[in-house]
Amino acid sequence: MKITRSVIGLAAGALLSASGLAAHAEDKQLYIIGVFHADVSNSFSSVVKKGVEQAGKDLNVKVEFVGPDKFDVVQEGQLIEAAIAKKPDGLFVSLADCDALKPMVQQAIDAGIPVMSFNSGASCFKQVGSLVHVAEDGLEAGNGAGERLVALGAKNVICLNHEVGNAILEDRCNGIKAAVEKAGGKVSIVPTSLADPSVTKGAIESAFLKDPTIDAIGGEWGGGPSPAVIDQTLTELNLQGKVIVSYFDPGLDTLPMIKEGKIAFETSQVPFNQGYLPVEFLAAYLRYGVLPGGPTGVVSNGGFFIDKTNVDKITDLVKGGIY
Amino acid sequence: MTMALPHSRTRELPLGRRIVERPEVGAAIGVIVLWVFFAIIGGSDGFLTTRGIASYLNIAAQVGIVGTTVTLLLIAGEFDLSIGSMVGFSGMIIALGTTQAGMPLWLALLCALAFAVLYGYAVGMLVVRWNIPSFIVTLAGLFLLRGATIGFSRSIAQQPYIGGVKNAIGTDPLQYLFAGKLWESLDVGFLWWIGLVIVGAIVLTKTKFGNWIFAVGGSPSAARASGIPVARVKIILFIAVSVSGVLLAAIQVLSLGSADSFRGQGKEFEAAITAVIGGTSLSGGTGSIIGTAIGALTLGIVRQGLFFAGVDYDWYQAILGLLLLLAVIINQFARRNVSKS
Repeated sequence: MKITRSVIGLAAGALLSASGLAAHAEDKQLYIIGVFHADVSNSFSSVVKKGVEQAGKDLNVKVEFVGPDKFDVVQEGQLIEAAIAKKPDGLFVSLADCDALKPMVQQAIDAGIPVMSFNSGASCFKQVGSLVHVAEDGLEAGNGAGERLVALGAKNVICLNHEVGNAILEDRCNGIKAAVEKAGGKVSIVPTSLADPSVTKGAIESAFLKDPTIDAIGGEWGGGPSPAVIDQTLTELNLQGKVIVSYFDPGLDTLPMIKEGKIAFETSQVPFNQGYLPVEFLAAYLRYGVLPGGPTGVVSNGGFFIDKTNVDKITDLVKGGIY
Repeated sequence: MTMALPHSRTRELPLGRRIVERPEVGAAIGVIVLWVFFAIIGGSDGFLTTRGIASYLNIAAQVGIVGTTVTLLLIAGEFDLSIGSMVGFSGMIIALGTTQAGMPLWLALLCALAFAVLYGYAVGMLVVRWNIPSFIVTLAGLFLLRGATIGFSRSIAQQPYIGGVKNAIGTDPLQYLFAGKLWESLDVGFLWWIGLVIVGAIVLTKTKFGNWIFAVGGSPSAARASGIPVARVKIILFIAVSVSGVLLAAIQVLSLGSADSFRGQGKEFEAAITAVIGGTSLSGGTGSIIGTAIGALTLGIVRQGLFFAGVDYDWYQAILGLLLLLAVIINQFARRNVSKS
C-alpha cells in the first residue's frame, strides 16, 4: 500500500516534472538565422522576411534574415560562416548553388546547428545536409505554367529570364519548355535585365521582330520591373491582347493587369510561407524533434495560380505586405 | 625623376614624422576605430570568436588579392574595370576545362592564366599604343568578358552554371594550393593575400620597377623623358591585374566547386574602394599596398561586423556606405591632425 502510493507519487512527480520540462522547452526563446542568396529587401524577399518575422513573433523565436546586396553565392557562403559564429539554435539557407554552399552547411552541422533550406536547391538539398526543403519546385511550377499556356492556345513561347545562371529561373523555363514542346509547340529563352529596363525592352522588341509568330510570354518575375516594360512594349508593337502573358510571382503592378485581362495568369511560390515555414519547422524540430516532409524532406510550396478568379483577394494580401 | 618619388624619400625626416605621414597610417586608425566599435556591439555575438575573425579575414583576402594589383595599376595612373568580369570568365575557363573538356587541373589553370596574360597584354596595348583611355577599354572588357562567360557556358554546357568541379578533379593535390582551410575556418586564400601584399609592397617601395610605377603615374611625360619604359610598365601592370583575377577565380572555383555567370561581379569597384580607403589616389602617382590591405580589412570588418551587430538588413547597404565613408573621414582627419602635432 505504502509502496503503491509512493509509486503513484513518483509517477505523478515524474509527470509533473515532464510537463514542467515541456512547458519550459516551449518557453525558452530560440534563435534562428536565415540566409538568402540575394538582397532581402526586394519585393519578393521582403515578403519572405515578413514571414520570418511573423513566425518569430508567433513562436517565441529571435529571428534574423540576411543576404548579400545582390545575387552572390560567394558572399552568401561568407554570411553562413559568420552566422555559425553567432551560435544560433537553427539555420535556414537558400541553396542557390549546392556545390558551393555544401562546405558551409557542413560546418554548421558539425557545430551542432540543424540546417533547413528554402527557395532554391530542391534537387540537391539532401546531399548538402539540409533536413527539410521548403520551396517551389521550379521544374514542376514551370511545367504547370507551360501546360496552362498550351491550354490557352500557346504554340510559340518566349521564356524570359532576368538572372541567367540562377537555377530556379532556369528550371522554370525548362519546365515551360518541356510542357510546350510536349504539346508540339516551341520555346525560346530570352535574357532580360532587372537593372536596366531598356535591355528588357530591346530584347522583347527584337524577339518579336525576328519571329512575329510568337504568341506567348512566360518565365519572367511579375514582382520586378519587367512587367511594366513588357506591357508598354506590347502596346507599342500593337500586340496587346494578341499575346498570352504570364508571370511568376505577382507584384502590385501586375495584379491590376490580371483584372484587365492583359495578363492571363501568374504562378506564385507563396513567399510568405517560404519565410514562415522554415522557422516553424526548425522550432518544432528543436523543441519536439519532429520533422515534416516525409521521406523526401520536401515541403512543396509553389505552383499556386493567380488569375481573374482570385486576384482581388490576393491584391489585399499584397497590399498588407504578406503576399 | 626625383620629383616623382614620394617625398618622404627625397629628404631625411625625423622617424616619427616619417611614420605618421605615410598614407596608410590614417587608414590603420580608421580600421582600428571600426574594429573596436564592432567588438563592443557585436563582440558577444561572435565577432571576436576565431570563426568570426576568420569570416572577415576571408573576405579581406578575396578582395585584397585583386586590390593589391589594382593598386599598382592605379598608382601608374590607369583603371581596370574588367577585373570582376575577369574573375568570372577565368573561373568559367577552369570550371568548363575540368568538367567539360576533361582537362587535368593544371592544364585548365594554365589555360586561364594564358588567357589572362593575353587579355592584359591586349588591354595594355590598346591603352598605350592607341591611346584609348583605360577606363573605356576595360569598361568594354567588363561587358565583353561577362557576356562571354554566359555565352560560352551556355553554348558548351547548356547553362551558365557549372557545378561538379570537385568531382571532376578528384584528389588532384594541386587544388589544395588554392582551396581548403589554413586553420579553423580561415581559407588558404588568406596566405595568398599576405604573400601578394608582401611581394607587392617590396616591388613598389624597394625596387626600380616600383619607382617607375610612381613616376609613370605621377607624370608620364617626365617619366618618358627620363627614359622610363612607360608602355612596358603599364602593360606589365595590366597583365598583373588580370593574373590576380585568375588567382581569385581559382580560389573561388576550387573551394566552392562551381562557377556561375555572376562570380566576381562588383569586384572592380570593391578593389578600387579598398585602394582609396588605403590612401591611393585615383588620379595616380601616390598610393600604398599596405594601405590597400588595410582597406580590404576595413571592407571585411564592416561587411561582417554589421551582421554580427544584428543590423536589420533593410538598412545594410545604407550603413555599409556610411561606415566606409566614415573610415575615409577618420583616415583624413587622423592624417591631418597627427602630422600637425
